[in-house]
Amino acid sequence: MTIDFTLNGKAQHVQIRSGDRLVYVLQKLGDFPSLVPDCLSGNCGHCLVFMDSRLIYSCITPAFKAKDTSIVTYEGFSKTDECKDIVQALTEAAAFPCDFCYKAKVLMIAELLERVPMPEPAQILEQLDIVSCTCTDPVPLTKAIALAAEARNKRKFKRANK
Amino acid sequence: MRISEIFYPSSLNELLELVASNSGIVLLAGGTELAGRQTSRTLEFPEQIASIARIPELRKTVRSEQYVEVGSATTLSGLLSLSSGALPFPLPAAIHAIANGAVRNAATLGGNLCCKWRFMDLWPFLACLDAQIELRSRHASRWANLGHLCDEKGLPSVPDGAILTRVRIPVHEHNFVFQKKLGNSRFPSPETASFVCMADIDQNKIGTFKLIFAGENALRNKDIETSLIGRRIPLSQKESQQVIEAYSEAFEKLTGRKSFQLDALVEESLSRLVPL
Amino acid sequence: MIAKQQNLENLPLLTTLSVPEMLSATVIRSRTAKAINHQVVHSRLPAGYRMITPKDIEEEGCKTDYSPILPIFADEQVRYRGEPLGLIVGPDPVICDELAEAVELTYEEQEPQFIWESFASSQIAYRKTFVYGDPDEAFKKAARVEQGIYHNGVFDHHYSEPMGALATWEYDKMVVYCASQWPSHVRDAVATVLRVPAADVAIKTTEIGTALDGRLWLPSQVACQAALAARLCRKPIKILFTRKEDYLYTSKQARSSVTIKSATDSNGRFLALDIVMILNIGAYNPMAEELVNQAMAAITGFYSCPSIRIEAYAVKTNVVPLGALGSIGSSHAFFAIEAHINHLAKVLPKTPAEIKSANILLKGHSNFGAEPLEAEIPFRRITEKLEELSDYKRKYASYELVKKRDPGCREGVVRGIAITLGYQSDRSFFQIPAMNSYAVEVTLDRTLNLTINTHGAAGSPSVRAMWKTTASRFLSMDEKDIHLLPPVCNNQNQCGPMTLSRGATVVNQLIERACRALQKRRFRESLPIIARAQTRLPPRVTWEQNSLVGQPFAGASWCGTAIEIQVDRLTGEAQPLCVWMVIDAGRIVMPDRALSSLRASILNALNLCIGEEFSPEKVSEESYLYQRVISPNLYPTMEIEFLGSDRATRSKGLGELPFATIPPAFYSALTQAIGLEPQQLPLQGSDILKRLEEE
Repeated sequence: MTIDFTLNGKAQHVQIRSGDRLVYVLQKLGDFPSLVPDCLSGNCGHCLVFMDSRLIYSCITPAFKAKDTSIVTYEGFSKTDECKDIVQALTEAAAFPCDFCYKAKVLMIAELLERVPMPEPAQILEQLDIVSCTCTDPVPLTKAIALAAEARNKRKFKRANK
Repeated sequence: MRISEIFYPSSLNELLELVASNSGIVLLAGGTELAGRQTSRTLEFPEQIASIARIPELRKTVRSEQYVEVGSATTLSGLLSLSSGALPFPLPAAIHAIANGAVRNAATLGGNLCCKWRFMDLWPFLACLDAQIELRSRHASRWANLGHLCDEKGLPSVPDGAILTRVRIPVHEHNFVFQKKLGNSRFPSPETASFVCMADIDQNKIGTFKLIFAGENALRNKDIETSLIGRRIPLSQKESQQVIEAYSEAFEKLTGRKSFQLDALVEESLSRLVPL
Repeated sequence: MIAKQQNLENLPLLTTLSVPEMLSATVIRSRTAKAINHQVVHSRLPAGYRMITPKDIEEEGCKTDYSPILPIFADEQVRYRGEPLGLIVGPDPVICDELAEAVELTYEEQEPQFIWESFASSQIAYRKTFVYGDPDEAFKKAARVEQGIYHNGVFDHHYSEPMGALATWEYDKMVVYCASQWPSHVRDAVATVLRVPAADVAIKTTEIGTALDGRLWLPSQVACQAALAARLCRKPIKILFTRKEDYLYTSKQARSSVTIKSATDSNGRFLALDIVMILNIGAYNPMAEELVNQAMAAITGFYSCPSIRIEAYAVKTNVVPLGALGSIGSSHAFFAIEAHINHLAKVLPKTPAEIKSANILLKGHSNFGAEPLEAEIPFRRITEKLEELSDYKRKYASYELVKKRDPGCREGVVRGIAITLGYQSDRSFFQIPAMNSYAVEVTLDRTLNLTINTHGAAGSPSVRAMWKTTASRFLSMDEKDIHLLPPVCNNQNQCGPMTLSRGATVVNQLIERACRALQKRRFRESLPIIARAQTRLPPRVTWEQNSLVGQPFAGASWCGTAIEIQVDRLTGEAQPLCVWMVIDAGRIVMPDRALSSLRASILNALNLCIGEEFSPEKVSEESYLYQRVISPNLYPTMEIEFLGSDRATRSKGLGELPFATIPPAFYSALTQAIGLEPQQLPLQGSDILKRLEEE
């Protein structure tokens, strides 16, 4: 079967099989190092993408569900100011997610801040559950999220003021 | 890989037609249960699938003074994003305890209630709240109590040819609620279960009492519940012990085994029934 | 064909590594635990796909095992469910998987052997006995004799990446990319099976991530499979397990059952220990000997005991190989001795702290007839600091009182607190010098950039940052001018195993030495200047007839861990509330990084305590979905202090300390909380409730 959707802003017209996982289909459409079909059970977060602005595990999403949706991978998100806020905050807070989960953690933080601009510590901890990699010390990661929230709100506030 | 036929109905009427003309067609909204349980690189689906996540009628929410009516394809995150107070206590906490945010972005209320192989987390809460579900087929529509929908094996089941379209959740809040989730693997394991006890206390007497323990099976005993109505609280030790034993027996009859956890939970909820 | 790589500073990820014309391979696995005369049949393969079996490999003139204790594919006998029988190779990994699932396997099934606590002699892979002093006499004179059996379950470890390898050619060499903690082992294994000189093979280490000592020898098996397939197909081959495959079929921490019988005087001081240690190593374990040796050396913790008898066995069963994770055996020993001290505290009765204090090994003394301790163990400093941080004494007394009033934990708060002491040493029993060799080369070039070549040793990003910081401080250079070469292990060098932090510390010391040597020549010689440092560590300790020769605490870093837990009396689940660690590990090169790394390790170590025991005998595909890790909502507060770092000159490893001390501390706190001695870890909530009910 063939489905249409947009991927990082570009229209796609793709031949898929009913049993294809979305992550494998997306992998074939370009160079997306952020997309790793790892646990295949909605756990590790190495396949996270935004689908219609909602963060989902593309490994447990059947590809056919992508029809008529808008999908954004980390590579598409990385060009945004929101991503820059988060990357900067991770460096400032000396939080060092490993190369395996870095991009997933950035998307995870982005989704939280989009939903809750000034998250409480309990909300931050709940969000960390989306990426199961235990490489990162939660203390600086929590600090990084708080810094990213501040940077994001400052940037948006300044824009509103202009 | 088996190749399945995928349908994309764009409206509820289209979906109902599809279901009427294709017996055995399986509805997929979030797919977190159907796909989440599979661990091979490719997914195996039934022969015919209807992808229903984007049908607008199944995602509507209507609020009134007595209830909130939610479309069955509303995601769990969508439920949480309803305004504060829209959902009765302790439903928001129960939803937060399900998986994690990314799964909740895809998983739906209907999917949670219609899982064929076990009772999922929201089932006991909504059953205690006496939620109603709308079942529609091509030519018929009816509302039924969620608690009544089980097949002969005692598992959740929607009648053939019908689909679950809406869930009506009473917003009446009981003045006593005690709940506990067991098991903490991300994916529902045989140990995963939810215990919910709700009651109304009025002038130190039990007005209503509901207790459900649901996991791979669901335990609810209306005889025991009825026997508690009108009793004064706090219950005496003897009364509590009788209730604990009654539930323990009922569970053993249902599952063939004892559960120390259930006994502890029943005891705890009874001990918390104190005058307001 | 040169693989695409990320920049030199970041190691490539095997998952995303690819080369032109690369094919994928999926392992065909046995579906039974024990069998003979197995055959793999596939009716028809699509064009572009082929099946490789041991017969094809032998016809090519290659070998199918590196050694009798590290087979690459099953020989005449299948030893565990999931054992590799062959490969399906082709362009699409998804189709390779489907084809591998569809192969027909025929074999004569035999009754598998899962029982290990009582075992047949044919199951013994390695055995060691040792007697020191006169235990029998000591038991006769003892004021008290106590016995307990302590079990440590099998754990999966949540690696950052599933197991895999990519074999290709670069110029005239076979190059294998894999995430291995022991690249020279991989190189030797690949050279052996291909029957080529080691000079013709190079190993390039990819990012290992969280390895937890599970990547010591198994990567060699997978690398050999990829290399053999590449040789037969004349194309680059990549094997990458699915996560489920990794969970079900890669090596886990060995299971152990340790029986300790102790003779003590009236003050709780050890007079003798009689120990039987059984380690279930699964189908095989090339490090069985090291596992047993380390476990034996660690069994007394750092407590003194004048007479000891130990019988230790590594026992084979028909389950997936159970490896050297968990400080290579030491963690089993620490768990058992600390659990036994807990038991003694109940029966004597004294507090665990009193018993530990009475038994601490003093300077100038030793166990097993080993070299005497050269310096005091900083037991008192560590314990005092821990007690101060955690308010241990007050809490311990309070929880004891609560337990007395509510023995069945029927009401109120159910909490416990415990302190455990442990250590990490860089002793090794490896007899072959290559196993203890490390080498470093530093080059200051004409652009005044420094490159560090660790000859295959690859640490985590934190470790690599530490190495750069060490060089930067010694040479007063900016870190941006210091570069680590990608770790490549070829014939010119050996690289010992990079276990949790031993290898990292040794390499750090070598970098210091090399930089010191370079500094002396820096302003006197023209650039470039190259300085080398290498070490061939002799085995620090060996078990002789009547004594342990050497210094078992060589290079030891010391640690005390306190944990406070709360047990939910309705579900039985134990939740860690707070973890305190006080560490004396010499000079800490990068304290912030070390703290971060330790906190992440604490969470990993806690997963060992609360996780579900993996039952390799009853492994099912579904169990993969039911893994448990500690939820972020339940992360404990963590406080860590380093003692004496500013005065120390030498750094010591500390990566193993959480794994050595947290499971015993958790267990001890749990026993206080519930008033029972379950004698095993991990424990499910339902198990705890059942035991409380039975009590």
